[in-house]
Amino acid sequence: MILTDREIQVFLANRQITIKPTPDAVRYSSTSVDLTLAKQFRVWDFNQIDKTKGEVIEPGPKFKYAEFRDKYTKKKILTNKGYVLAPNDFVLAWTHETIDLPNHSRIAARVEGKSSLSRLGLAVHVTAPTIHAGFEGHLQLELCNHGLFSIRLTPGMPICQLIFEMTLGTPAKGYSGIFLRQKK
Amino acid sequence: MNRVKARIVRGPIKSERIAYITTAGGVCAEVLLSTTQTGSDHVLAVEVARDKNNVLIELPQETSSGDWRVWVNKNQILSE
Repeated sequence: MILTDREIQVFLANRQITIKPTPDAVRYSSTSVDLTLAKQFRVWDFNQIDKTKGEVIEPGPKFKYAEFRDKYTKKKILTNKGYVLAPNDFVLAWTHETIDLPNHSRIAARVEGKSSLSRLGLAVHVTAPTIHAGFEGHLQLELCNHGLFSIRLTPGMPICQLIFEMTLGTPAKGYSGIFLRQKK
Repeated sequence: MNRVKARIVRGPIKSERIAYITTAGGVCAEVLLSTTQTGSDHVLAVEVARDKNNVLIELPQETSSGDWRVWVNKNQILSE
């Protein structure tokens, strides 16, 4: 079941969901809440990429994503002028807000794009929208401009929406420290 | 459901209209709606909160600037 705005606010009040900073009233819709874009970006370092001469990524046990990311991307802190995402450009970004979905709350969520931006060609994730129960932190966004025009992205702009879903039960890890160590 | 004052123009297809709503902050919010969600001078929206002078409404669709909810002056509400 998807939570409505009223339920989201009740869950926030009860700290079964935490969003920091707390979204303004205008950030809600009936069944979602918008999150905003953080200043931190990671953009591709084409000087490094050009040296690879066709290196093939081999995802698997030996692949170290953090090393890959650090080698081929560089940090960028956005000013108020923002970042112009050119057609076909792809960057890593984060939400300004942090999310906490405690396991015992029986809440998972999905991060999705906003139609106003989707119409321009902006995707905010690459097929991985699920925020599992127990997640805590900033949401990473995989921003890709599939459109024909460059899009200026500015810190603080509503960039994605979060849809909360109630799970049918409590995940096993949600019982850790409560029931898992109980002895018969 | 409230009728909220708006300027309505033709949309990209026959069944759609573009509505322009002046927000309490003076910004003109643009939203693409079905003809069933608009009249000649208004859009249908739901009140979700109210303060002394303004009403927070939820529109039937997201505005071009990404908002589902906007504050409008209560004078913009034509009927409740």
